[in-house]
Parts: sequence; structure tokens; C-alpha cells
Amino acid sequence: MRKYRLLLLGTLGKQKGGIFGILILMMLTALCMFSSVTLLTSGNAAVSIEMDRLGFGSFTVWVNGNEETLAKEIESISDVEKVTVQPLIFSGYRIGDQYSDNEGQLIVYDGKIPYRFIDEHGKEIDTPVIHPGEIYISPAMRSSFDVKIGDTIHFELSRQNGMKDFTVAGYFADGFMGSSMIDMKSFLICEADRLDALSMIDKATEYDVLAWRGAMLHVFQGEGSTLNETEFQRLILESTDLSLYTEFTYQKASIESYMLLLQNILSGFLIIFSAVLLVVCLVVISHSLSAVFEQDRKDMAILKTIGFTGRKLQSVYLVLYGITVTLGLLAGLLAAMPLSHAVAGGMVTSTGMLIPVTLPKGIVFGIAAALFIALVLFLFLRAERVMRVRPMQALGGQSDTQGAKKAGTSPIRKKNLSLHLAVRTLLFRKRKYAGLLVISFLLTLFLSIIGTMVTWLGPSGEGLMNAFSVADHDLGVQPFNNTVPMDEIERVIEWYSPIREKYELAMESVTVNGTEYTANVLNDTGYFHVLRGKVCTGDEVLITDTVASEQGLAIGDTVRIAANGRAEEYTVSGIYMCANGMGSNIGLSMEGYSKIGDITGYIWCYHYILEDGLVRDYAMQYLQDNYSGIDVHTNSWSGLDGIVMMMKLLAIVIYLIAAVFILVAVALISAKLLSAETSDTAIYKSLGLRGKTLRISFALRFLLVSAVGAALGTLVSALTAESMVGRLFIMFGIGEFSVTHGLLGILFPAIVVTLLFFGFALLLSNRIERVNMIKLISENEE
Amino acid sequence: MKNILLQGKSVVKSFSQGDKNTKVLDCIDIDIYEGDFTVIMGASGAGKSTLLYNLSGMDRPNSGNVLFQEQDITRISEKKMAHLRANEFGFVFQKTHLVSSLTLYENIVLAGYINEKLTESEAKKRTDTLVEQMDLSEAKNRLPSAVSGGEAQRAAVARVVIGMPSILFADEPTGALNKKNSEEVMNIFSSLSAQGQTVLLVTHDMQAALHGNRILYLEDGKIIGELDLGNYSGTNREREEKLNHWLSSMRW
Repeated sequence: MRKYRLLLLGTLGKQKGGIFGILILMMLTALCMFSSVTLLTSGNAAVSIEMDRLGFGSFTVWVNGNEETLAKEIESISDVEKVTVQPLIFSGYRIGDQYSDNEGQLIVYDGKIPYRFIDEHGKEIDTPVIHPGEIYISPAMRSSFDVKIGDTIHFELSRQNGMKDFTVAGYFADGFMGSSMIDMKSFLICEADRLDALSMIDKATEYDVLAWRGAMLHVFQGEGSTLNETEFQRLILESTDLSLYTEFTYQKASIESYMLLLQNILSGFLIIFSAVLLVVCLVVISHSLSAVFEQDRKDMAILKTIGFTGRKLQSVYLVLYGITVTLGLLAGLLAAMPLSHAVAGGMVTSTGMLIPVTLPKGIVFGIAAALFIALVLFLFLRAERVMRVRPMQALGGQSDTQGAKKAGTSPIRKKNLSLHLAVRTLLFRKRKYAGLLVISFLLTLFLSIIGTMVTWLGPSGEGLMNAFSVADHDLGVQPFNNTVPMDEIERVIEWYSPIREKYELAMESVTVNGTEYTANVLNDTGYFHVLRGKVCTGDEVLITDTVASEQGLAIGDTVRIAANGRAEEYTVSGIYMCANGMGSNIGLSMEGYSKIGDITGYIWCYHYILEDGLVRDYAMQYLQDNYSGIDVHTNSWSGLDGIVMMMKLLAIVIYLIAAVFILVAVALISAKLLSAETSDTAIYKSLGLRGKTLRISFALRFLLVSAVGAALGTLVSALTAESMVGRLFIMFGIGEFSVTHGLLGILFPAIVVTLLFFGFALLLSNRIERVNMIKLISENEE
Repeated sequence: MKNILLQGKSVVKSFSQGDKNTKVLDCIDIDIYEGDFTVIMGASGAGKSTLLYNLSGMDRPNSGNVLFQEQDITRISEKKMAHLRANEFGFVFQKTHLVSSLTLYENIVLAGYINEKLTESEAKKRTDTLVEQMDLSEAKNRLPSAVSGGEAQRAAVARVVIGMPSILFADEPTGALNKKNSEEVMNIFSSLSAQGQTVLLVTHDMQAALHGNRILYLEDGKIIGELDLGNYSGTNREREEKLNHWLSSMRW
């Protein structure tokens, strides 16, 4: 046992650099994996619990009146357990110069609903007393509107002296609408302010009033009900007058997906990235073990001659590397909790709610155990090579794996000698570089996929804008009455930029086969993003992939669309893309909608495509400041900047982790290679090659191998990235994912990976400078 | 009057091991003349290899100077030293020390490429000639691991002479060879010497030393004797006896 311990410690002493590097890699991999799993599970559990705690029903309907009667009507249905009513006031608002795209919902805070309040640093605080003039907002508004405590929010309740101002007193976790992915926002105010606001609304004339009473009806499905979510919602809509008063409806599952959409995407990517890192770890461990066995062959042979069995020697490496990977896993696991807390705290301005981070013990320990078993098995198989060491051969200097017997085919030339020597050494010892190739391939592939997403997103989130908008536009203007001088408004827009194209859009609530959806109505259906089939005519409808899946519809099927008490049959002409409402929407032509709805009201929004789209924000600002009775918006929403920033941050974090991995992998692999090549280095030096030249030649090998791996990664990414991300995005209602890359965009990840390999190899090859030709003398004396 | 090509002045080299400091070269003064085939002999541990490495710039003395064509090589930069190794110095080791990933031909031609005086085509041409001269035609495309010790050492010599160095250093070049291969290699050295190549050889093999014209004897880090053996024109009894007698006087 004592001999065994000595051997173990001796091996550890010799391999401490490699062991430390593997420990770091394993720790980073485990940290990345466990923290993303923790965030994913904690977040999703927290949203569900929070929604239940705050009283969200099986689905919740936002209505514009008659809430008490509707509640009673719904409650009388046997499948319904109960309906709770949460009154609110819908009103547009302005923060500084920024106007909201959606109405805010003013909700009185009376302490009955247990909202959580948050300080500026993302920490939960005691429940405050809300005083008149104070307002509590979602922390997500910090990222979307840059609003801070002490800022003023102006609510325009009516045109004539109808502005009600509130001072932001703090933040609260809004489990329904808090996320920056959801544009509608709720605000908590005190009862006195609610009454004052209602009085202002009541006093305003029908012409002047801009805000209105409403409520959330939280509808709870009874335990005995056997209907699924869609059937249950359809039953309520068909059995009551609810659809006449509905502003919008959300099922609990939809809100859950919305709330943590961004966090789930980020966590999902990090989990996949962890898997990539795990493979990189295995490659590095494998390479490290091979090099160690090569170095220690003679020692192993000697130990075998004095009675150590192959199995015992194998166990030394198994124990040493087993302990290292276990410590790495444990260190990553321990660090995952504080990191998850920090990330959850940092993401509060995106998620809009506090996520209590809890380690999902079952999942994490399950993953850890699976990883441990897989790693030990891997180590066991790799360490089997010890069994093959034959003392006589090893002591005689023969290798058990036999190096290349033939010289490479690449000739060496005087010109670019460093490069030729690099190629030659690579071809001669190609197996030693296979690990580098795999690492470079995997990292480039993953970085390319991230790059594809960032490119799709665009510098200002254009990808998401287009995915979520019904049709492309730079500016939208919706007049609310006939006094709005649209001709003059168009002249103002043209003063900023010529108008290239113009069309009209209305977004109306309809039911399709009894289920409620938003109907996007266009006067020119050519603007719909049709993915399959064709645009719709007067008796046809376009549906999204989401609707097709929910309703089990295909092109050519007939559907019954109803609104305002009228219903018509339409044929599905095609599938189009609009991720609004997670894809729960349909497309109709103006002619088609006219069969069930009134097209003469102020439902139309004029959409403009400008020659110079960059001026849209200036034009919008001018119109908002100088005209009333209109809603002006661009093809963006307030939370988009946060999403773009988060995706770019994710890309940077992943690049940084990849850089650390490349550094550690190059450090470990180059140390082994340089150690094995000390003699060759001394020979080259004795012939007159300079250390600098040899370092470049050494680093060129890393560049060449990583370039091949990176090229393969880029190729595989080009072939598969769009379909892979597309499959992921379809879950969020984004039916089509296609990216047009510039050449630099395609090559960027490969260039970065290759240069990192080259740069780190060059940096870490300084050992070559220290190789003394005395080495050759000492070999003489052996 | 012979020209001094390489000169060691008060060369001291010592090695430390823990608290113990061992002086291997004890203030040696030595002149190596152009065109000479100088052989350094001595018992094991006398410091002959250490002297060779210090004179060739492979190692640096603790004190003293080494002058090559009047330039102190103990004070020059790594870049200049590399230039000297590529163009002026050639070194043959006891072990062949060929680059394992290159064929014998490539090992030879590589040295020609590193040499600044030769163009690529000249280097190839000289390699072809040397391969022929050293009887390496059959083995030239094989890796060092697939050739005999003699073939490898002949390739190592060819690699050194391709750049026509001013001085050729050799450290026990026959130490790992059998008698036949040793003779072949030493005949090459003699042939080169006959063509005017300056050679500085370290050996404890008397048969190898017979090929030199000037023998120096090293003991305890000092040169204690010198023998002028005259130019080599094949080994004969008289030459062998002269060396033997002299070595006996050195208590060898």
C-alpha cells in the first residue's frame, strides 16, 4: 500500500500541470452545465409557482367591461372551478420622450394579491405602502425604457387635462407580464389614485377619453374536467358572451413560455455548449493520457519487472485522473449555485421577476453521476494501454504503438521552411493532432451556430422584428378619429424620407373553429410572409405553423372564422410567419375580413416602408410630439434592445469560455508535444535554426490543424445551423429561420478559433527558446 | 605558418550539484588551426566533450573566451550563433540525432536549406552528390528508424558537410557503431580532412584518433600533452605505435 501511495504521489508530481489543466476544464464544463440546468429548472418552476401564487387561471382573459356578469356566466359552466376578477385601467403612457406601444394596465395594490417587491439591486424587500402619486413597475422596464426610481411616468387618460403622472417608487415581480419579452405591462398604484383615475375617465367625453376600465378574468378549470386547454377555452368562448368583451387571452402555458423565453433560449444554448465542452474535455484527457503513457513507458516497464501488475499500474492512472475529474465536477457544482444566483439577479431586468435559485438536486446529481460513470469508464478504457506495455520492448526503446513507418508525402522546401516543417511533422504524427482537430471542429461549429443567431437577430434586432411583425415596415401610424390629418402626416414623414411603399393593417380579435386568435388583416396580402402555399384571397385565410399545429389544419382545409357575432367559412391558402402571440394568429385580406367585421372603423394602421429606414425613430418622435389622436410605432418593441444585448452578451460569454478552453487545451497538448520533441528541437537548433523560427513552425501546426477543424465546423454549420436553429425557433412561433451571411460573417468563428490556437501555441512555445543543445550531450551520456 | 581558426582562452566550466561545485574545464587555452584534423583524447570524465561543446558554442563557459575567426562567440546573440551554426559550424554527435520525421535525404538537404550560402537547387545537388559519396542511395528515402547505425551516422556526417562548414566538430562519432561502420565513418572524416576540412574530434577510440594529425590529451580539465602525428595516409604500424607510446606516457 505504501509503495502504491508513493507511486501515486510520484505520478501526480510528474503530471501536476496536466492534472491541473484537466481540473480547470472539468470545472468550467460542470459550472456551465450545472448553472444552466439550475437556471432553466429554477426559472420554469418559479414562473409556474409565481403565476399560481398571484392567481393566474388556467387561462386569463383581459376584458374591456362587464366583468362581473361574465365571471358569473363562466362560473356556471360545469368544467369551471372558479373565476376571479382583477380590475384594472387600460391606458397609454409615456416615460420621458418614449411612448409605449401598448396600453399599460393600472392595477390597485390592496395587499390581497401577494406581489413580491424588489430593490434596485434585484433583492426582495418588504411589502411597501403605496402612497398617492407613487407607482411600482416591473424591473424589465429598466432595460426597455431605462426607467429608474424617481422617474415620472405619464398616463394619458383623456385629451383634455387628462394626464396623470406617477413617480416610480420601486419595482415588483410581475409574474404575468414582467418579462421584457412581453410588451404589455402592469403597474401597481394605490386605491386613491385608481379612484382619481376613474373619476378623470368618467368626466371625459366619449370623444376625449383615451383610457378605459377593464379587468383580468382568471378562469380556473375544474379538477374533474377532461378537456384540454384549447378545448376548455373554446367551450368558454362558445358558451358565453366573453368574446364580445375580450381584448386578449393567454393560456398559462403561453405566458410561462413568454416570461422566460430569453432565459430558456440562453440556458438551452449553454447546456448544448456544456455538452460540446465535455467532448473537448474527453479529447484533452485522452491526449494527455496518451502522452503520459508514452513518457512513462520505461518507468512502467521497470515497475512491471519488480512485480507491479499491469492492473495495478492502470489503477494508478485511473485513481489520479478519476479524482481529478471528480474534483472538477464537484468544484463546478459548488460554483454553480453562486453563479446561478448572480445570473438570476442580473437577469431580473429581462425576466422581470425574482427567480429563487434552487439546485435541482435530482437532475443535477443524476447528471453528475452519469458524467462520473461515463468519465470513469472512459478513463478505464484509455488506461487499458498500460496493460499492453511489454517490459523488454519498452526498455529496449520500442514503442507499443509504433510511430509512423513511412515519411510524409509533403516535400520540404527552402522557401517557407517553417511551414514545410510544420506540415511535415503534422503528417508524420497526425494522430497526435487529431484531438486538436476535434476541439477546433466542435468549438467552431458551436460558435458558428451562435454567430448565425446573432446575424439573424441583426444589429438592432431586425430578425426578431420581422419574425414578430405581420409585415415589414419602418413606420406605422394609426389614427383614432377622423380629425387626424393623414395627408399632412404623410408629408411630415416624407420630409424625413421618401415613402417607398404603403399598405394598411388591422389587428382584430376573431375565433377560428371556436378558439380565439388575432386576425392580421391587410389591404395588400402581398406583404404577408408566406412560407408555404399562397397568399389569401377574399374567401381564404393564412395560418401560422402554430395555428396549423394547434388546430390540426393543413393547406386546403376549411375553417370557420367568427367575429362580432358573424361567422364565415374560409379555406386555408397557405402557412405564413408571424410570431406574435407565440404564433397564435391568422392572416386575412381586407375583403375577407369584411365578411365578418366592420372595416370602416378606425381599426386601420397605415404602414410605411421608407427609402431611408434609419430616420424612422426621428419621424416617430416628431409625430408623437406634434399630433394627437394617433398611435405611431416602428417595427420594434421596447424589450428588443434587451434581447439583442443579451444575445450579444451570450455570444461574448461563449467566445470567452471557448478561448479559455482553447488556452488550456493548447497548454496541455503543447506541453506534451514539446516535451516529446525536445531532442528534435535541439537537433534543429544545432543545425542553425533559430528558436523563433521553430516556435513559428510549432504554432503553424496548431494553425493548420485548427484551420482544418474550423473549416469542417464552418461547413457543417453552413449545412445544418439554419435547420437546427429553425427547429428550436418554431417552438416560439418563428416559422422560418433563414440567414444571409456575408463571407466575413461565415468565416469569423473559424478565423477566431484558428487564430486563438495559433496565438496560444506561439505564446506557450517559449519553452523552445530554452531548449539547450546540452540535451543532445546528455543523451550521449545515457 | 598555420592560421588559427578557433581559439579557447582561459576557458573555465564548472557544474554545481547541490553544494558541490565540480570544475570540469580548468582555465584551458587551446588553438585549433585551419585544415587540421585535431583529436582530443582523455579518460572518461576528463572533460573532453565539455570542451568540445564550449568551443562549438553549444554551451557557454563560466569564464574565458572562445574566438572563432577572432570573434568572441561567448558574447554573441542567439541570432548570430544560429547563423554560425547554419553556415560555419558542423556538429556530429555520438548518437546520430537525425530528425525522426524526415528521411535521410531530407535530413541532409534540410541542413542545406538552412545554410544561407546555398540555394535550394544547390542544396539538392550537393545532397545528391553526398548521398552518392556516402553510399546512401539505397537508404536515402528511409526514415532514420529504418536504417542501420552506419547509414544513419553517414547521413549525419553528410548533413554536417553539406553546408561546407569552416570547422567540423565531432563528439565520439563512432561510439555507437560497430568496427566496420566506425571505419567507414572515420574514412569519410579523413577524406574530408584531406580536402582541407578543419576537424575537431573527441574520442577515446585509438583507431579513430589515428585519423587525426594533431592529438591533444586532456586530464582533469587541463590539456597536459600534444602529439603531432603527421598527416594521415592510411593506418600503419609506425603511426599506431607512435600514438600508443604517447598515450602510455600520458598514463592512458
